[in-house]
Amino acid sequence: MITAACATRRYDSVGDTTLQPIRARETMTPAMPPSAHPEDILLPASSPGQTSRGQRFGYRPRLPESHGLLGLALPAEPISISVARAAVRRWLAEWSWPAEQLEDIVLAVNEAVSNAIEHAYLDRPPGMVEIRGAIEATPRAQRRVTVIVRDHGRWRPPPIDDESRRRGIPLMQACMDGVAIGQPDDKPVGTRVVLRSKAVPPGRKQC
Amino acid sequence: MQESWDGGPESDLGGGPGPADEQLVRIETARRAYSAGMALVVTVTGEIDLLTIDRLRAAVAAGFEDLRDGEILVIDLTPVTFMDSRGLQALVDATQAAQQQREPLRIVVDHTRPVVRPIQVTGLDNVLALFNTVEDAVHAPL
Repeated sequence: MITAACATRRYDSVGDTTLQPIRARETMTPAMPPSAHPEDILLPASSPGQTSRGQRFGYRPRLPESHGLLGLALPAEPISISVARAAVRRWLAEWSWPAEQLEDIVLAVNEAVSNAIEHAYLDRPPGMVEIRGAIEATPRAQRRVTVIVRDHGRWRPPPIDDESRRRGIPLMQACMDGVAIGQPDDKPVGTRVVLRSKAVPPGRKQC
Repeated sequence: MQESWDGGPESDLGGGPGPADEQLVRIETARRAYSAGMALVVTVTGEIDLLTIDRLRAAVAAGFEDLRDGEILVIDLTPVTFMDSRGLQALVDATQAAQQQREPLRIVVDHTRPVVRPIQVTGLDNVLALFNTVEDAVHAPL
């Protein structure tokens, strides 16, 4: 069950927008299409005052990291992958994530972002890759992260013959507690990968 | 006696992606003499990902081409700070190519977790010839 109680308690309003409460619908299991909605944590409800920038990225950029949230949108170019890795590392280090699990999360996010950049926009003009992360409390008072990698290109079903992606998905699954690859719910364009990390002990944001 | 050259963009096959990838990884190839024989050592420093993988593949391919009779090709990954599934695939491809040419390919990883972790969790430690040091790699029996 995906919960994000921490994020919703602190994130009641962002300027003109209001976050809807979490509606976790289903337990994530490996290789199932995502129907839990951690994006609900990160996307503000639409409201008349919402800016076009807020609508595009789904949140105000400066606040999220102080509330255990991560959000970035990068152009779908290979250099962006190292930018994404550095951002995830910085985010989790700031939240005192244990080093080995931190590197596993970076590796899994790297795979998802790399797949998007390599395959999403082959048949259309290059677009963006969006990465959103949230730190959540688990039922046993531990914590874990959920990271969502999303592109707006072509839908990529799980690979059978593609060697490079065939090795990447087992790597993601080995590094994470759950991996779900599917189409986004809000519109049937692109691919969304939901990565749920293993649980780790509680920790604090470093000052 | 030692020769070495830098696998920079001039030696790449085809056009390189530009300066960004040079900052992410440095690849140097050096011929070295050991008591057990000669080795061609490809040393990789930095990050192996989608941006830099072509340079790694090119450096390994060039190593195979430049290998002299009786020489051992060694890929030294101890200075690697990040490696992903594309790096794994390149290592598998290089190992298979070496086996077809009957020239051993040895990979040095020591305890570098960024490299050891993806290799172990995908079970490739049973496929790749892994060593802790270049010396171990060169002195291991064929």
